[in-house]
Amino acid sequence: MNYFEKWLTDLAQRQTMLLPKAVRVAGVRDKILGPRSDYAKIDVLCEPADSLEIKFDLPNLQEAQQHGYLDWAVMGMLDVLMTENTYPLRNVRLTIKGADIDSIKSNQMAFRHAGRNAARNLFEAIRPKVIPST
Amino acid sequence: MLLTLLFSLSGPAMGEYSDFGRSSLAAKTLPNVTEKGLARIESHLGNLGALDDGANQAMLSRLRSGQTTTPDINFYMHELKESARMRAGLDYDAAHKATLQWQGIPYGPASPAQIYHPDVIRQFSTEFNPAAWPQ
Repeated sequence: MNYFEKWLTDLAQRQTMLLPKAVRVAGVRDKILGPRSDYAKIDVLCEPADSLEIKFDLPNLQEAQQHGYLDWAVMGMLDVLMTENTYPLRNVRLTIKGADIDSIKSNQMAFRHAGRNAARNLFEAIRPKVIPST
Repeated sequence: MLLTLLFSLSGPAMGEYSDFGRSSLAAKTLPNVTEKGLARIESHLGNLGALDDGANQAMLSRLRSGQTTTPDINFYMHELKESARMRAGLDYDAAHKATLQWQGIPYGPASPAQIYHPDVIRQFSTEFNPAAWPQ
């Protein structure tokens, strides 16, 4: 059995979990790597949708797209949205509203990490909270 | 004293490397890369949480295999000097920038191109600012 192909097929076919409400989250990557550093930050509005939709609505769109940073941020979000929970979160509209770029420290993978961080923050925001009884 | 041991200079005293990394570098005697120096660098990178970084591991592997191109030696010297400055009390940012200045490498988006070998940057290109990508 080709487990990788099976895993990919399963990921694409499984039912999606539902996003209960619109949530706006930030995702950050800020890490020292010795002789160099990573930095990236995104601001994402996540809304319920009928399928995966990606939108970019940010003032520095051209700068953010120049090196594919937004695409890498989206892939980072999908890394987590598709695998973090029991069911993938595929039916969601992701609108990137902001991208903070450091002219020295930013790179594609930094934006992928920022996307992963944003997705984890989304799950944290919609996670049911236990309210202590009084 | 410790730095002198770690650099294990085979020729001039350490002070003569104040312009290390500049074009005049090739004319000077290169420092010997020692296992003690590499261990110091690994400790430094470990303290920064950057030892498992793929590009750093690739550079350490190149040094252990005997590579001594300018970027290889720049990486080695940069990490040793930066480590020493941080142990002397500087924070990372100040130590990093002072070390770049000591090496004659301008602080900017392309500075990693002088500290990482082009093959390593190609291998891990998505983890480098595009300004540092080899032409």
